[in-house]
Amino acid sequence: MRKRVFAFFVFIIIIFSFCIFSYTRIESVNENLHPEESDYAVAHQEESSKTNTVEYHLGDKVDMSGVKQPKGTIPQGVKYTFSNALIKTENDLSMEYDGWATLFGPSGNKYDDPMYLELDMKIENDSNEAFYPIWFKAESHPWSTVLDPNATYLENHTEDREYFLVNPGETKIFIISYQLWEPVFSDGQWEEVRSLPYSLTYLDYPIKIIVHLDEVAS
Amino acid sequence: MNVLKVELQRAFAGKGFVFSFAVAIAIVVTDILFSVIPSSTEQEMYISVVGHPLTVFNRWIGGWPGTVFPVLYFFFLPLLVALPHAGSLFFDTKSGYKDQIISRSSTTIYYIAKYISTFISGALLGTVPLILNFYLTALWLPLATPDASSGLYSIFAYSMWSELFYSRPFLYIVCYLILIFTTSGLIACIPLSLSAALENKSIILCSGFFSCTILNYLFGQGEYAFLSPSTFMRPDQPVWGYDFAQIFCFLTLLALSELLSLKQMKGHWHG
Repeated sequence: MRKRVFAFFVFIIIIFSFCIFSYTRIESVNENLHPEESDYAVAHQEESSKTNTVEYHLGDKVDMSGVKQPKGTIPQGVKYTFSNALIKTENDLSMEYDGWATLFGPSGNKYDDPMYLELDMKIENDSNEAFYPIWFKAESHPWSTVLDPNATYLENHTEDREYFLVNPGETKIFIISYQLWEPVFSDGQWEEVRSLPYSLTYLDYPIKIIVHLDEVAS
Repeated sequence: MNVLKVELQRAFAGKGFVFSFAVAIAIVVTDILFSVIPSSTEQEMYISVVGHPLTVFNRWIGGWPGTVFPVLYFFFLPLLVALPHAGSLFFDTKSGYKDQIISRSSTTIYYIAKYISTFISGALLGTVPLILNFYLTALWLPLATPDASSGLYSIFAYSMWSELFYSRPFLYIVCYLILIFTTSGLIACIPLSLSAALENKSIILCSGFFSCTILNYLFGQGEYAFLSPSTFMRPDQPVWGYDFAQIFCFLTLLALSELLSLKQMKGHWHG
């Protein structure tokens, strides 16, 4: 009987130690996750403290100063403004732009022809550094996509990356485009593709910058 | 009840269970050693370049299709789940053990106990190593909420339960574990239901594995992937285009055919 009680206590102690170890280890892994905060994160600490998101709407000036990008951070004094969100079909694009080639063929396809979410992106560079813009992703939970470079280059009538360089003191407006293609949406989403709640997002962990596209014309 | 208890003891205390469990644990621990731990050292790079960290949800064995370990695990799972107890009906019949048990209880109780014990042993073999892998991954990587725009996750809008994954990832994993539990259990019972039709114990034990491999070869890559358990059991969903209703119909048909086969077997062997 004593042996059984002893074994029971040993078992309880092992389980207890295991739980304590797991808890402390998982806690420390999650605590150590937070990287050195970017200037952007410090500047928007109050806004982002609860939800880790900083939210804007179409037409707002999005202060991008200090946002982390793959090489360094965006210089102080850079602001983005997104406007004129609209959805275009492949037909619209082929009529507007010479040289537009449809990617998937016009008809007789397994899927509907793709559409494009198009926006104006104004960049004001009040810093003293030239920089290439970082691109937001388009999102409509749980769908997300990166910028469509082919359509964006075509709509800006350029094939040159230098065109997108924004010099100090300069303000430039680019047309940016995101492809909306049936098979990458869920079934229900594609049926409402023209009226989905779209947003543009940029991840600067632990903060997510969200620009809600409240009005998308089609 | 005693028959069930005896069958469960046979299922969980046998060499087959120990061997299968050891192999499954070896695969998931190797995944931790060669995939998760090396990945965890690259965390800073992911945060600065992608703007999102590596998390448990994109690096546990059911979250990342970029290594060989999930392929190994789910490919051999139909064989591993069958080893503990799926061949025991054939063995019991040949050795006369079944007649002795039936003489002390009843044929129906014996078959029900056999099916339940095989199902549970297979189901636990399919899920417990995955839970262990998830736990071990959580010791190295954070539990941050997945974000679709990071591009670090293999679940896309068109994947099954994608909304759930990006809003309640734990619930997604629980749902998937239930799906794996059920599927593993049913696969473990395939050899059981073929015990009267086949004459060789090795072939009987491998019948679930062969069936899954053939189904995977025929349907594993296309829009009929819901017919391939080795594919749809994977929480990282390397193939898409199916939904839960299709999987549910497939599993229901599988369960019905197994039960029907056992009923016929009972009639065949016992008049």
